[in-house]
Order: sequence, then structure tokens, then C-alpha cells
Amino acid sequence: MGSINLSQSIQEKQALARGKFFDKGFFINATVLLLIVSAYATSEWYLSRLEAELLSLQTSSADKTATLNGPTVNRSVDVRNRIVTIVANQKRNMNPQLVFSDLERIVVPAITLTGYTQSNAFGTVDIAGMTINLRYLAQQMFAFKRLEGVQSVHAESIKYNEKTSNIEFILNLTLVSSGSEPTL
Amino acid sequence: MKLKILILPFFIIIELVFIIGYIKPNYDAITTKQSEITLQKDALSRVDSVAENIGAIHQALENRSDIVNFIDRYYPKSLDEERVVDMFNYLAQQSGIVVSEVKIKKNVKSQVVAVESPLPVVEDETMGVSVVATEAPEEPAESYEVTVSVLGAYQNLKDFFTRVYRSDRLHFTKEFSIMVREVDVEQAEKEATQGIQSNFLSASVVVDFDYIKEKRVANALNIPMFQSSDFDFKDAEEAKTFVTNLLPPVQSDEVGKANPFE
Repeated sequence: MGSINLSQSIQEKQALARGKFFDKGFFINATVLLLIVSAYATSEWYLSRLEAELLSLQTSSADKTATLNGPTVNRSVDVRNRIVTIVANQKRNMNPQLVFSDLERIVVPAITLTGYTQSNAFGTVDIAGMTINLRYLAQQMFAFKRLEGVQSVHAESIKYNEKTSNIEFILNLTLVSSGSEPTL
Repeated sequence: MKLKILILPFFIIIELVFIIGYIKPNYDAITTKQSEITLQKDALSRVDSVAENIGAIHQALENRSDIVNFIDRYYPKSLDEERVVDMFNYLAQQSGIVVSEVKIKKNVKSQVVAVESPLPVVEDETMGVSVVATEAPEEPAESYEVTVSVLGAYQNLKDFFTRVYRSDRLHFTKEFSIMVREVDVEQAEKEATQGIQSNFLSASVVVDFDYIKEKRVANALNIPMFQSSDFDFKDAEEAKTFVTNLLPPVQSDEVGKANPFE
């Protein structure tokens, strides 16, 4: 048979129950919660500090970057660009010494040139001349054809001049359009 | 007692809410901000480095004013027809030939090699500011075409063309020609008095001369040449060595006349 403690009053019972509610476990839980809240507060503070630091760095970078222009920069870039263009274009022009030495080397003795026009813009050479025999002209065309840098040789006109008793001709040479310097 | 049973789950739920809802996002944000700060510090140090390099390159250009002056003369910033006219006259005199005609016309479009972005621009997103356009849009060079007709002996004409080839002015020879002249006896006698010999050939050369004004650079940060403190003068030295015919500057001996029509 169960016993009832009749010696405890109702107030004592309530106090006992309260004491059990705020026991050791409650305080441990409360402490953990407090630590978590503190960690959150600390992270908020640290985050705001980082944001301030980042903003300061961004402002500083933007200010300094804005100073990276002006006459000094313009001048340096301009000189560099001019040098690059100069180098590219110096290689583009043909050397007349090479052209004329090729011409002197390749012209058949029985041929006399009356005109020489080289167009670098179109990569063509027009050669006018005269000779006494068609055989020499054929030899000359063959010689031009064998020359390095010449793609094709076309006889634009061949005619006999009764006044001078010479065969007058005009040849069109097409040059190879490679990166190498065209000769002739 | 029933209320006490709910305490532990209550605390756990509150703690989880804090951890998942507040602390974790903050932790992620902190990690992101820290990496952003690292990037920003790197970018800032790069800005400082570029600023130092600009100073060093400027100093290098100041120290090599001979080369810089040569570059400015060789590839000028403005129309310099007077210099080119003087150049052909000077080179013809040096070669012993006679200039018979000079024609100058403005070109619509440049004939020189279009240099594709000599200084390529790299975009940079690490900066907090927008630094993308570093140079003004590429503008083609302006140019003018000069056709010069001359008279002279074959060897002298060869010499003239070679001197033009190695002159200290950027150019592109579009066309050149040499022709035998047909001169009658009367004309030959007349020309002889002017120093034009019967064996003289006629020649002409068509040359393009380019010039380009200095461009404005919006920002130097991403221009490759400023990533180093050295300025490479090698190409400029080679260009200078290539030129063997330095032309004297154009100068007026005397100016001023009381009656310009007399």
C-alpha cells in the first residue's frame, strides 16, 4: 500500500518542483545557448569589420587606378605603338638594291629593256623591252620564270617595229604573295 | 514536470535555428569576404606595381630621348608634307638626279600594315571598379600619297631608290618605274643646256607616308607593357640602324618680304 507524506505542505511541494525546473541541465542548456548567441554576435561584428576593410580597399584601389592615366601613360604607349608599326612596315618594303641586282643578273644580253614598273600594292611587274630575235625573248621569259619570287610570266604584247627593225614586247610578271621580301 | 520535459527540445531548436539561420550564413559570408579582401590586396599591390612601372618606363624614355626623337621623326604625329618634299629634293641631290615633278594627294585609307592591337588588353574583374576599356578604340593612321618623277642615269636612279628605301621617314613604296625616254634631237639639245643628258632615264616612285596622332589611354592597369618596369628599345634600335639616310631638319633660312608679289 502506497504511503502519502502528509508532513509536506502545498508550498513546499511547489518549491520542490521549481527547484527541479531550474536544475543543472537547464543551466547547461542556457549556457550553450548563450555561447551560440555570443558566437553569432561575434560573427556579425567580424563580418562588419571585414566589410569595412573591403570597402576601404576597394575605395583605395579605385582611387589609385584612376590615377593610372595621363600624359606619361599616353606617351609611353604611343612610343611603343609607333615602334611596333615601324618594325612591321620596314619589313614590308622591298629593297631596291636586291630588285636591281636581280634584274641585272637575269636580263639576257640580247635584250634591251625600255621600261620597268613594279607595283608592290598589286604584286606585279611590267617589263617592256626590245630584241632582234624572238628566241631571245623566249629565253628571257624562261629566265624570269625561273627567278625566285616570280609566280608567272605573261607576254602582254609582242610586235615587230618596222621603223627600228626590232621586236618590241611587254611582259607581265606576277609575284608570289608570300611574307618574304619580293625580289624583282 | 510536464513543462520541464519541453526544455531540452526547446533549447535544441533555438540553438539549431541560430546555428543554421544565422551563424552558418555569417561564416560563409566571412569566408567570401576574406577571399575578396585577399584578391583586393593583390589588386592593390598590382596597381602600386603598375604605378611604379609607369614611372620607371617614363624615366627610361627620358633617358633615351635620342631614340624617342627618332621614333617621332620617323613616324610623325601630324601631316609633314614639307619634310617629305624636302626629303625627295635632298635625296635627289645626293644621288645626282633631277626631280621633274612631285604630286601629293591625301589618301582615304591607310596603306601601312594594320597592326592588330599592338598592346592587347586583358580584362580584369578582380578590381572593385570597372577597368575594362584601357585604350581608345583603334583608329587607322592617316596618310598621303606622293608621286615623284625624276630624271637620271641608271646607276643614279638605283642609288636614289635605295636612299628612299633607307630614309628616316616611315613609308610604303606602292610602285616604282624606270622608262627609257624618247627624245628628239632638238629637245636633247635644249635639255643638255639644263644638265639633262641624253642617256638619262625617266623614273617615278609612288610612296605612301603615314602619320598618326597620339592616342589617349583610359587606364594603364591592364596594358601588358606596364606589367614590367623595362622598356624594350631593341626594335627601335634596329629600326634606327636600318635607316642610313638621316635627313637634315627643314629650316627656313630667312623669312619676311616687304612686297611678297615683287
